Amino acid sequence: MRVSRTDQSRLAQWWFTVDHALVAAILMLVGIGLVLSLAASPAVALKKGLPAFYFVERHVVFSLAAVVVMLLVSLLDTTGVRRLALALFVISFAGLVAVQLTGHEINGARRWLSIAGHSLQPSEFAKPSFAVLTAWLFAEAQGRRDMPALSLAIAIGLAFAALLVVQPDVGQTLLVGLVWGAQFFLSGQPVIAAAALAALGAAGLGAAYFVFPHVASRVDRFLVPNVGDNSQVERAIRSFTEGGFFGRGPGEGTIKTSLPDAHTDFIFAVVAEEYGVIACLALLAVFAFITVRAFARGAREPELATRLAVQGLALLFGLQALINMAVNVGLLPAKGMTLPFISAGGSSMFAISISLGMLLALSRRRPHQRRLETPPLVARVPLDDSMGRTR
Amino acid sequence: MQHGVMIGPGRLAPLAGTGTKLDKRGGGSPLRSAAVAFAIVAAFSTVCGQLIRLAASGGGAFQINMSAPVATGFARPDLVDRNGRLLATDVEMQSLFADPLLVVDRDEVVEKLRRIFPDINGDELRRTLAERGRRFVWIKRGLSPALAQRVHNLGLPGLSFRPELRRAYPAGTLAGHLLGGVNIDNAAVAGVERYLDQNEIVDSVSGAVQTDRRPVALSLDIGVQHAVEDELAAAIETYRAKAAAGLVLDVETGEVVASASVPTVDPMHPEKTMDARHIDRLTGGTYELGSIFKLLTVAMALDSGQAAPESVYDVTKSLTAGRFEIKDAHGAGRPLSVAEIFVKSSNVGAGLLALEAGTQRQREFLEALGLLTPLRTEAGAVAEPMVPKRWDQIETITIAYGHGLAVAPLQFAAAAAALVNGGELIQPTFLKGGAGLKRGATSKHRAGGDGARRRVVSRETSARIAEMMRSNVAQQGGTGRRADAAGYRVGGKTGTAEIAAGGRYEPNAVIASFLGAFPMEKPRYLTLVMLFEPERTAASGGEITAGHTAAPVTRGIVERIAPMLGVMPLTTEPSR
Repeated sequence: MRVSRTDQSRLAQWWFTVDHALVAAILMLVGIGLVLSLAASPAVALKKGLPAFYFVERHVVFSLAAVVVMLLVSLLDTTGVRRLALALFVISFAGLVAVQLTGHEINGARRWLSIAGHSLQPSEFAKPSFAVLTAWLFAEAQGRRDMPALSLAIAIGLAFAALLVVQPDVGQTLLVGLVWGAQFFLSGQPVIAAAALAALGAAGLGAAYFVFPHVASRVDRFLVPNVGDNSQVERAIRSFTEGGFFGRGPGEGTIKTSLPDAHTDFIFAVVAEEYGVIACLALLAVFAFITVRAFARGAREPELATRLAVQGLALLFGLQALINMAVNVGLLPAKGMTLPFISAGGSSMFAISISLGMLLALSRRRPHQRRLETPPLVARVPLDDSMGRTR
Repeated sequence: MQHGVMIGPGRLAPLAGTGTKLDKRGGGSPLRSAAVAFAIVAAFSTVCGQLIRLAASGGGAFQINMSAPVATGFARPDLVDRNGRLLATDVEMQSLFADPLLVVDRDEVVEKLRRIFPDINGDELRRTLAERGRRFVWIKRGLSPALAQRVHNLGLPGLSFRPELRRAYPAGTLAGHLLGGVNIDNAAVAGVERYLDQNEIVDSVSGAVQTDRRPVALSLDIGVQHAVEDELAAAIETYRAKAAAGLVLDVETGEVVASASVPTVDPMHPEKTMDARHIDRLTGGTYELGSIFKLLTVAMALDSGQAAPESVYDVTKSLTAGRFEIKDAHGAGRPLSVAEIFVKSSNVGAGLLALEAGTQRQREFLEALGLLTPLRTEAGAVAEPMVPKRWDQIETITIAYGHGLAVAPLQFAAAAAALVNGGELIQPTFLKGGAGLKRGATSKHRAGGDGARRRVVSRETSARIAEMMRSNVAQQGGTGRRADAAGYRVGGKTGTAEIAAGGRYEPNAVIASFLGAFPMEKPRYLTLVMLFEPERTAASGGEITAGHTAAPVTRGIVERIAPMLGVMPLTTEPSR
């Protein structure tokens, strides 16, 4: 791309301020996702009686749309991002409520909303907007004591968690809770409070074990593999050992024919079997790179609300990938969590693209800040006084 | 003092210059970011470690290939005869399978394949290929390279080959009963092949991987086996018999040098052995063997000292036991010595000898010879002897001349071998050197399988039996005259047993047997020739008795096999 520095258009501005490495890594991930959708989904599609490339076609369309959405969102400035987050949160929150009222059960959970023939998962869209909103509220709580920002953050956190729990979706609750807790901790709240929250979260997980029979059974099967039928996870783990470092070769995999979720939750195992653990490590490296780079870039962000939002979104993305991979390799009990950009599924794909779009937008370099952080040729002076700002 | 960001309600724009300061209290320290970042990296590393651990632990240790659900077969060692000549071997062949999903034009596939394999069921194949859910369907296994090439040249998508090991029997039907055979996965179904499986002398393999095991040497001699089968086949023609069986047994070692049952079976189609016409008559059925049993009765009488070969018995009167009356068909009209009873094959004489010994003694003697308990060999279980439930006086008499106790011919031959080899019971074996004995295949009556053989009759008795057998063949008037192979000192006993059918004996349906041995001055090989239901032909002089049928067949066999077995012909009778 050839863009002049003097070009003041929005696109040119974007080009010079966005993190190129991050964009490149994300686009690479999308590309990998396209290739890998060819590996897993035809087998699943055939098993479901669909045309072989049903899921592949959808994946291509969703991927292209997702990239466009991501880039469009990343054009926003911080204000725009927050407005988008607020709007999205209100809508998806309403969606979450609607799911409880109208949604139909799939696999024993109400997660999907059917709109004009398309099924949507509101919780996927609620997640990134929630992360941005709580970041804002936590920053407010630090900045302004006259606003009940902390209470509000706790309130919407609990409300969101409650709506996820009643679905029930313990995996998403855990993810959202972790991001919320991390933001709480990062925002500078007392360490003791953060520790107390962590304890509370652990207690919540314990409660989930006793309240939801499916959670209990999954955890039991995870802890004592002999109890009951743990075949999905067991089969997934076996594909790592069988695939070895170099895999059986593209198309030679077998797990995709036996796992119902081979194209979504267990695509990582399919990759392992066909392309080997080396490919898995490479994929993991891309996820780790995006997460850590975004997180580190967020950490350098001077403005607290933006910083917490970037870090929260980075965590959201990274933890989701981590949980998925950990389940695949047998480190965590099974839960419904997709691998960003790799797993099939429209809701997840768009939610991730919005999420990363906001992340890219918020992590864009804002030159004036940098200059004021370390003003060239000017001695460090108390900024607020010299700027003559009042409170 | 608050140094936070100025954020108006709804105004989210960061203001210039709000950077560094707010971090001091409001924003948490960089340390906290570092801590969270560290946690993330640690989590990613954990997954990383687990990935590497899983990949390293597998090492391809167990391979499950869903596209080949029946890929495992067996690699078998070669089977060779006692001189190392090949009887069975594994050959790599191509097996044709289809992936229905990849088949483009079903009709074309079926059409073209049927041109190469006319026996393929077209409708069934078309139906199978329509099942798109299946990814692997065998079409034809074990193709020759030429056929595989022809199929390959069709260039049909969805068809593919998988190399497999197939068992090949280069000697054709030779010793087919004994070898047994294998199924489509190269697993044994019968015979010595089954012995290999049961003793794990085979390897389970996937694909065409030849075993590196040493060949298994059988006791058979291909040349002898062929001669026996050839002579038997000719005998069936000559005497118009329904079937024939022949056995050559080394009486010293128990090794079966030839074991033939005609009609033969092809080891490529082992299922045929189940067919009654094709059973192995030496091991697969029990028969009342008739007068050749008198060998045992005479040996029993001599061994206990109750009689000498010269002892005379009055056989002119018929024997009565209960409502039965036994008399000799062609009575001599005078009392006979024991030797004469043997040579003239007197039923009354045998009955008198048995009665003199008593039921108990007869039973113990047959038991000692292993004729009352099941016998096992490397080729599997031999048909169990049919021991009469009631064993009184009348059974004692009939068993004395070979009726009332039905045994498998191989089992009888093994017992007879003990009477001519100096008196020691042998375990018949189909492996060279009798390696199978060590595997516990012996019945409990074959005590001391390794070397220490059990004596059943004295050396002297054995020598006298041998003398009688020889004179039965050598002397004018002996029933075995026609078995006298010039120069090879054959001895033996004839037996013509009427076949029991529907509760009574059929006089014209007989099993004509000749139990022979040679060279008689020190018997080494025992032969048993059986003709099932021979007809009265010109070649037999209109007779169906063993002396006219089985005896000349034995001569033909001995004349062919004695040179192969290293028995020298002599012009004068040697002294013992």
